[in-house]
Amino acid sequence: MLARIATLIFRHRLPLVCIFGALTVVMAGFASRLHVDASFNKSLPLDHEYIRTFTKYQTEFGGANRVLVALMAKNGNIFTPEYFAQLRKVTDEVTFLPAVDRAQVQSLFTPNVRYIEVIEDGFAGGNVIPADFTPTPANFARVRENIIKSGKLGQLVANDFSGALVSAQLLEIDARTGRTVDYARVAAGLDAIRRRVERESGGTITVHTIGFAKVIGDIGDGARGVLLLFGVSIVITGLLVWNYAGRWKLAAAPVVCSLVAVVWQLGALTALGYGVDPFSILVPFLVFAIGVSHGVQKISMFRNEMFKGHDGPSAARSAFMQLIVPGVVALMTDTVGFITMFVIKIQVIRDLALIASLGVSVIVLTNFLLLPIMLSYLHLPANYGAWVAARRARMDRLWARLANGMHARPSMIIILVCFALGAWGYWKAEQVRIGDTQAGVPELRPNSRYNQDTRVITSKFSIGVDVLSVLVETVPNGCIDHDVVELMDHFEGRIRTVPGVQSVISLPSMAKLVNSWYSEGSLKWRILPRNRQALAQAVSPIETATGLLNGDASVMPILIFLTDHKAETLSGVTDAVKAFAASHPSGKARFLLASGNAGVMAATNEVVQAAQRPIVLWVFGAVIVLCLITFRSIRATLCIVVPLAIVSWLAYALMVYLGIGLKISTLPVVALGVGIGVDYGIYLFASLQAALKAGAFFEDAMFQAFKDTGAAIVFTGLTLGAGVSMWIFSDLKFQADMGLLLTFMFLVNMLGAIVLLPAMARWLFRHHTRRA
Amino acid sequence: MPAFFLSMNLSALARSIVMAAATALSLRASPPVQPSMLLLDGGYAGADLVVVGERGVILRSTDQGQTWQGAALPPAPTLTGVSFARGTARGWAVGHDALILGTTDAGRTWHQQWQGKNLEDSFLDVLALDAQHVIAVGAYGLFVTTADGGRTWERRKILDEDYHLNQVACGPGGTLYIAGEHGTLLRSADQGATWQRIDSPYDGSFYGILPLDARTIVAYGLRGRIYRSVDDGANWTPVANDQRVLIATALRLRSGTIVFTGQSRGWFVSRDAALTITPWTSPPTPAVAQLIELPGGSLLTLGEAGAAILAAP
Repeated sequence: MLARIATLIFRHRLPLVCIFGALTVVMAGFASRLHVDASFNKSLPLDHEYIRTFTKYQTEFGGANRVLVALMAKNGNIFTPEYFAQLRKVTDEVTFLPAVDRAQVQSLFTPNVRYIEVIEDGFAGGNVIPADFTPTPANFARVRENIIKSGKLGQLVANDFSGALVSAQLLEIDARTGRTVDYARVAAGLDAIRRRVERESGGTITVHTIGFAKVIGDIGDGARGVLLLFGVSIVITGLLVWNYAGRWKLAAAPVVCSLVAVVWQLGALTALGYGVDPFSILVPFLVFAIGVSHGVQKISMFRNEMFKGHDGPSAARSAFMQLIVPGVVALMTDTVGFITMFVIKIQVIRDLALIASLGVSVIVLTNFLLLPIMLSYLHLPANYGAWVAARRARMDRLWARLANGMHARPSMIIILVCFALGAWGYWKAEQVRIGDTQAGVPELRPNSRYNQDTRVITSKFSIGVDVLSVLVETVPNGCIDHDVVELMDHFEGRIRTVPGVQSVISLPSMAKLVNSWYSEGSLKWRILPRNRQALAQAVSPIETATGLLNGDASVMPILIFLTDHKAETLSGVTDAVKAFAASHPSGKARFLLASGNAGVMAATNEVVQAAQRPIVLWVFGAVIVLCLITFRSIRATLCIVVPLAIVSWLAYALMVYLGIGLKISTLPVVALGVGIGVDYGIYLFASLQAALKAGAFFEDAMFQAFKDTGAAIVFTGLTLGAGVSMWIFSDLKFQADMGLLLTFMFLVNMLGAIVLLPAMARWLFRHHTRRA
Repeated sequence: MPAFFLSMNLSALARSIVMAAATALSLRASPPVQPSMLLLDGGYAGADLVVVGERGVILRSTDQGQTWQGAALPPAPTLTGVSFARGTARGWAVGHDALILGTTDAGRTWHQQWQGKNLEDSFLDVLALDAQHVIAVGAYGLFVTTADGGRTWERRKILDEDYHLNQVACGPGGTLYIAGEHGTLLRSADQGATWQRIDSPYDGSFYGILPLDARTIVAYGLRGRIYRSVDDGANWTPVANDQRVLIATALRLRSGTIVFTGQSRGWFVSRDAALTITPWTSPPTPAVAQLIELPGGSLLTLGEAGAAILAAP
């Protein structure tokens, strides 16, 4: 059957190559239309109760999509004519950016920023910068006073008067074009403003921009930057293959085949209507690396056949026949790792699993059809056999040393050292944090421009960037129901005492402020009046644009600003919210978690924490079952699984030391590392078991297994490592984290397979040793 | 916590034992409270500080404001005033919802002593003359007194108009003063039994009167207004001040220096018994409702940012 297929393939190799070529051109056409989709909605755990609340009110309160452009004066003083001229210009420029809600733009120069003064018979007020403003010292002093009176110090002006900012709201739908907002264009506009100001001011004014649009822009840029790294990883892998094969034509075959697989995969994605997000953009690296590492085995087999005296086509045919079954099985084990990721109910991870599985299926086609056909066209020079033999002899000496070194004492030392490492890793792994610890946007690097800008703005202004909002579902016009606002105020009082809570903004706290202004600004009147008219008067100035209430005041968010978004901080707040809701049952108000970036993080953390154990149990369960089926031996399974477990614990220990938390991006790492890393052990053990079954002593069988598979294992580890290690240089923090951890998993799993597995086998199969 | 094995985790066990021990210990002393909520008034109960504020909070400090503990009290609205009878452990706290609380153990535990029928009434200040006599004043002319240490309270009208009565103060000679809305200034020479109007130099709100001696008094209030009288209120001289910020409180330090403050960043000092004032560029503080001089000479500020200690000018 297999032989008939093989014969058929190689008889029609020219048409098949043409078909492959044509399909690749078509797929490349699709792939060229690939778009990088940096929207993060897919990374939300949609099933989670917080996220259900979040999505329910996303359209109503999602409008809090703010962009802040801060102009900081280098000399620490904004009261200069040059600074004011630039601030006015930037205010205008921001107002005319696409999708900006022009009426909501705020800066010292916009008419909606006013100061209010209590006078004997009511209020007096005016624009902070008067219409007749001219830059004189007296006028600057007046503006300074007005800023303090306006209460915008810390909001629009830095607390030490060293800078000021322009704040703008973005509309989801651009009213002028009727299209959904293109964040990339907004981000580009903001960059242009930055460049202009810094150029014109000669560096005396620096510009710092934060906001969701900018994050999306920067993440998109970072994700596209990864494509460049892909080129580097192809070159490195190519060099590795060339070093292994010794002939560039032979080396080119698996590289080209794997590139074809990548093109097909990307093309298929686009054809199926998928975009590439910052997570799945990493899959091509994996597919390429897996493709090359499997392709290399084909080369190895192919040249062995050539040395036996076959010509190109029959050598390729023979290699195809021998490798199709084990190769497909190995690729299926990779897929096991991907499939376990479906345990996590987060779309990006499932997409990642799906796209990776798709890529691996494509590899089956390219590696088992295209590659043998390509190889069949190759002619190897006469002296090539001698070159390979010389290299092999060098390697074999190493393998012989390793195999013979597995005496009782050294192998026991290896086992003890590895187990000690494993125990230490297990102990350390307990300390792995859930979620992110870094300040700013965790997707970007801590020293990225965006996060630096965030640090400048949060340190100079009283502006928090980590917000968890609790949505209070209440009766229509709940804002003038004293019971409701009083309960919300009590909630606020309770939440303010939770560690990590910096400040809280809510309709009741605003209303209390307004009420005190109606009472001459006296602090003793910061209360919610029981009188319905007085309460209505205190509430009426609070517009829906503040995001503190919806149209009929039946939903009122309470914005909780946090000092950071560490998992403990988030869970401390969510626990306090749940405890308050449970101890204050009310027919009129329900306190629902959660919205805001920190609310989404809290939900994600909970999902990650819940998925963390299942995903590990599933992948190890799958690997154990697979090993039991393949080898029908518990001892064999132990030899393969124990090194994987130790390496996984060490990976967690590494995360502890590098301060990498368990999050959406790092959760799949162990599954990927184990799913792909198990191949090493399977190859090596299969060969060992075959030799033992044939009656060889353990030492000889081990040597044979090393000779057969050792080089391929080392090579596979290196190519996989080379592929994913390039991610470390990504601008996106989570890609760098994934790259680092996967490189570690792939390389150290390889070491585990060639060091610990033989040592354990030496003891578990000691009845096969020569002395026994 | 990644864990592939369901085995017993010894470090977690040890941690939980430590936690249990810590919990048992913490039951003995009430946990410290961060004094970061809006605080509106405070005073000494013997050597201990007691402060009151937003959402019915009462805090005590036995170490001159370094650390604070919560007092035991029934659920209460925002409390605006607190006063202790000198040399006793008896004190009273007043607030919105027409509520008066009392304590007999220097502020550790509090009980409701009186509440008006109309919860829209608000007390704004309280003054304990001694362990029996207490005066509480508030919005719309609210005036309530007790002569039996709080067992019974009497509400009466001392003003024809419904003006807010913001503060009640006692001079060195025992004369009592009330400052209020619309230039309201009142004087009582008989422990609050009868009240006489003082001719007002200003028709805006006064937030307090600071008696300096038997004849010299200083009234302060809205828009940076400070007036000084050397004849117990018969004639007033305005104290020059061009900063139009609310002055909510004033305090004479043991050094004789007078400090005025209120609205955010509005600080003024006088070193000549309020003849002249100068702005004090103190560390920028949010709005302040009350000042207390600590034994070391520094100032305890109570206000928007809670309780904070400030070096005296």
